[in-house]
Amino acid sequence: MQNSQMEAVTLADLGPGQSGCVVKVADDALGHNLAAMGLVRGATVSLNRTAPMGNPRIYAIKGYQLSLRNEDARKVLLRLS
Amino acid sequence: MTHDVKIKTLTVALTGNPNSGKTTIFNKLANARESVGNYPRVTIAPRERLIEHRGRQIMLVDLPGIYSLSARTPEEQAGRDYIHFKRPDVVINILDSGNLDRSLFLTTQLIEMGCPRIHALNMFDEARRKGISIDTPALVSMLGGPVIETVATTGEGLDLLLDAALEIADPATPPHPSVSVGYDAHLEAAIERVRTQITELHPQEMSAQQSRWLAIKLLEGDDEILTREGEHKELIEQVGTERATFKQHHDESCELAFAAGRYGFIHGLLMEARTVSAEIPDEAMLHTRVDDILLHRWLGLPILLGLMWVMFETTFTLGAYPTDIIKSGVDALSGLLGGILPDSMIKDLLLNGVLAGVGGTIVFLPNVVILFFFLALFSETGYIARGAFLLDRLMHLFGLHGKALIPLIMGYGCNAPAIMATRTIEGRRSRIITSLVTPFMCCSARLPVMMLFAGAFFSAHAGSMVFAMYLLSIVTALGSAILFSKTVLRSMPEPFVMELPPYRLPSIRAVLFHMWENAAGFLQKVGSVILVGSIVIWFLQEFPREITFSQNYDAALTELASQPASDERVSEEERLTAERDREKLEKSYLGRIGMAVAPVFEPMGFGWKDTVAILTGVVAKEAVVASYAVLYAQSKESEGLMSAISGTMNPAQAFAFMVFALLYLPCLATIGAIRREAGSWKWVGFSVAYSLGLAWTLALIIVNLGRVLL
Ligand SMILES: Nc1nc2c(ncn2[C@@H]2O[C@H](COP(=O)(O)OP(=O)(O)O)[C@@H](O)[C@H]2O)c(=O)[nH]1
Ligand SMILES: [Mg+2]
Repeated sequence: MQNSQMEAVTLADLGPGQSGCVVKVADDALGHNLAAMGLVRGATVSLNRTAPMGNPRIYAIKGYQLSLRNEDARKVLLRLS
Repeated sequence: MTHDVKIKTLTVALTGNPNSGKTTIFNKLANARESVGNYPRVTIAPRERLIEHRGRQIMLVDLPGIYSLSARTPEEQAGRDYIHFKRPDVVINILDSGNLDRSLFLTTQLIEMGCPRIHALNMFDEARRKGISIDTPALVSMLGGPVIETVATTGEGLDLLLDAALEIADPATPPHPSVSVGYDAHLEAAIERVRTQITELHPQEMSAQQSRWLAIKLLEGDDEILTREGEHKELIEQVGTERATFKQHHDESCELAFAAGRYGFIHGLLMEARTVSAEIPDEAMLHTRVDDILLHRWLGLPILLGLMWVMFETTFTLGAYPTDIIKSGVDALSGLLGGILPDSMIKDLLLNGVLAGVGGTIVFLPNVVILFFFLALFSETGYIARGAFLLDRLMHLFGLHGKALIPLIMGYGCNAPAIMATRTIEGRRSRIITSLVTPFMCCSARLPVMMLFAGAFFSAHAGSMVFAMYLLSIVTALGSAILFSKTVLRSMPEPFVMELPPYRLPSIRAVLFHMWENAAGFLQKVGSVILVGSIVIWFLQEFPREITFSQNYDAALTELASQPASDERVSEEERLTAERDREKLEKSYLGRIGMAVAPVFEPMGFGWKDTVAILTGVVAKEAVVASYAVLYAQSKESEGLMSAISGTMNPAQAFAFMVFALLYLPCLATIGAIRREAGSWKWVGFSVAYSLGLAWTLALIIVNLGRVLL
């Protein structure tokens, strides 16, 4: 999955205070749902908070806060910015 | 008013993202009191209200929130199907002005559908405070429909909204120049090719806009639309090829390309129509600080638990004061009636049936109201969504979804609507598990039972005892969830995609409305089910009048009366009278019913009166207390019901009874809700059998532990 992009990381790999630009979203029902919520190619996203057990986490996207589980966040590929 | 001019009622549907303020607007306009809450998705099924505006009848419809017209959960489907298939005359698209980027995604789909619509820039106050300024006139032409700034909480702009609805529904109004969402060249080319085919298949039937919409929907792979066009094989085939080629060439599916295109359109539009001041407003800073504490990695969960404890403790302690007042009111009324009414069966029915049952239940009104105050506060401020976030991982361990927290917490209020709230959960299995375990949550109707027993048997620790029951209810719910998810409803992990709403100061009106609504609901129940139930129980315990006693009490008493007065005579008289009353009650219809079922509870040592109370609780949980009140009304002395029952069980039995009453059966309304949400009687049967079995077993264990330990 990672060989095509040099710096391909997923949303779940984003560290505190880091932000990235969405490169690709999985082509399945969840991916389509995430796209409707604003996680589309080109959108900027950053990590805001992490829940007590490290999961789920809250991301800032399109000016609002979205909470996702790490396993779902892996469906989103990013380029770090 | 004239009735001769019959104008068609206008259907106006409110649609928008969850939490955009639809229900608040609906309430303000309809003057209704639907439940609002500051966590995404409170409106669960479409709700309608007929209102009048400028002499015109308008059917206002509040729809569940949706982020997009491609729906995923059942409640989103309800929201979408209404727009798609019912085709309301006017759609009011409610937008969160502080969050236009995402709010407008749905708007792009409405634009493509071409439905007559009005855009409400709601929460304009918040946007202003965030330093956002919006060029509203520019938006009007870009969105192709009226745009109105509103503040739902104060009612600002809402009349204009209805004015605009009437105006665009009027055939005399020239239509707004239509706009379209543009996509990149490749998508546009694909749309055009499919559209050409569509116009060939449906010649003259569709406007350019309609055929474009259909083409886009088909390319997006919308299942429902695809089935609708099922008879056009060539079209379906063509769409399939288009989608496949697109994906091959662009390394991205059509769905995702359309979503990106829509967000691109929105971006362009907002670049022109919106300016955001660079400095971060104090309010946003404050919200971040609050979240730093409430969502803290180590403090978050303890704070959540602490807040819950405060809620239950306050419900108990603060509620005691007004409860005392109501109690003395009921007692005074009872004394008054007792004094003025002549002795008769009617008097007995009124005092020992109606007043005992209704009065015994109504004293808990303050507790119920306080509980709902806290629930309203948590949901209005946006805290519940944070709770769902904090607890998701933990819930996940129990086979539940983080969003299950919302129905579970709502279950502390009333189980039936709480079960309806499971519709917000994405996966079917997870949804069924949640509806099966929600009835274990100690609803406000069970609160009186808990308070009665805690007060009667554990008066020194009554508050903690009630809190323990609340803890037990959540532990049972979670434990059962884990069991179900490992056995009968083995489930795949489901996604958790939840918007975190900003903190909002709860509007006092909304909180008061919420309390009033639930207080009214409680009173209504007392006035109906409890009233009727108390009367029925009274009759059942009074009849039959002719009883063959095991000995002739009256003769024995008369004989005693002829003996010389002594302490012995008095105590013998008392013994005989009590014995006679007991036998009379046992041989009444109620006594016979109770005795027939009592063997089931024999191992726990519950008497037939307890059995009767348990049986009546199936109809509505408040009835348990009402039954006790009627059953003990005869022997009731000034200290009241609590002291009357306090001698009837040992502490272990009392605790066992509380546990049994907590868990034993969903009430009728809840059973109906389970049937609706789980979709079959099979699950209702399962729920009934499981909860009865669990309650019975636990009660038995407790009683026996008590025997060993006490
Ligand atoms: N400040 C402000 N708050 C609002 C406004 N409209 C709604 N709210 C609050 O936003 C929250 C969500 O509203 P609700 O009507 O339940 O949203 P729905 O999910 O779209 O039905 C509630 O706490 C409302 O009090 C508004 O115009 N201004
Ligand atoms: Mg709503």
